[in-house]
Amino acid sequence: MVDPSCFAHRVRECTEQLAVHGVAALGSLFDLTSHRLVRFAVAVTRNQHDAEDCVQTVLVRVAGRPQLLAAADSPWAYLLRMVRNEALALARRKLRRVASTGDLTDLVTLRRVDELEQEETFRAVWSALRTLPPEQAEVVVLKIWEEMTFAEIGGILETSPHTAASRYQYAMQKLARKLSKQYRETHVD
Amino acid sequence: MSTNSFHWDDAIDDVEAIVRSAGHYVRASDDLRPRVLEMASVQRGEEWAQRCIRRVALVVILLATFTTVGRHPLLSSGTTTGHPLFSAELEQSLTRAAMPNVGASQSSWSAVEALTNLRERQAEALRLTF
Repeated sequence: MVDPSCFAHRVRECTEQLAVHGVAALGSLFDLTSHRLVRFAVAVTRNQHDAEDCVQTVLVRVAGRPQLLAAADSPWAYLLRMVRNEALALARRKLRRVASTGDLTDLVTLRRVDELEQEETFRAVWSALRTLPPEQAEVVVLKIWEEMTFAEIGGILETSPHTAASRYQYAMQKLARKLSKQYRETHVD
Repeated sequence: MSTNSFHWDDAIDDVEAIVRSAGHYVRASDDLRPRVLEMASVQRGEEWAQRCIRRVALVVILLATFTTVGRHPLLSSGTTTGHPLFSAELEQSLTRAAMPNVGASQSSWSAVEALTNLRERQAEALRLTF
């Protein structure tokens, strides 16, 4: 597993490269961060297409003004915050509430040959995650997949660490219920 | 710690492990990378073009300004009061208007008339120049 502090360091290096070389260095930042950014944006927008639009907008903006990112204390956290703000702005522009659905048909998924047996579990996790309120789903993504502390999460979500921890606890309770229910249904069938 | 909370912690750990395993399941689509790089290049080209246009426009404006100032008799004179187009009649009207004991409405109207005459003469002079 990638050490998160190491990952943040690599993002900083890419950001510095971007500030020096401009758009020519955008590819390496994209390769490093795009999957994580899309994953986070999907948790907020609940739609792959919207999530990719957000990520595209943010990365193009960053390429135009790389000094914004380079000047940040933590470029990775700053990038996540930009994606989140863009996702929320997109939701406002579309004037719609994000639908609470466990449907995964829009998602672009990765199927590794050695993990085919686990695909059912992965789908159950994503399905359950998409039924959570976005403010809880984003905390789960940042806590479990980005391995951030609640203080860091609070910084990105512009809320207190206590609120972030509380949202996480509620989210885990719901996920546990949904996943165990799904597990029982699958194995009884 | 109660027995229930102990079990709950275990359950949370299990759920965290399950969720963690699904982290790489969702990914960006293959066409996102070329889309982003193309958009960034287009944006850079547009910004470069806009910067060029702004610079050229600035140079043209500066050149036009300096040329006009250098050539036009009205603008090239250092002061307007000494210029023939700035009439003595207007100067007198303005002086009268500034005096406290002169009737306000009379002096104001004479200043307005003097200004109107001056504007007409300036317009005529500009027509002749261009």
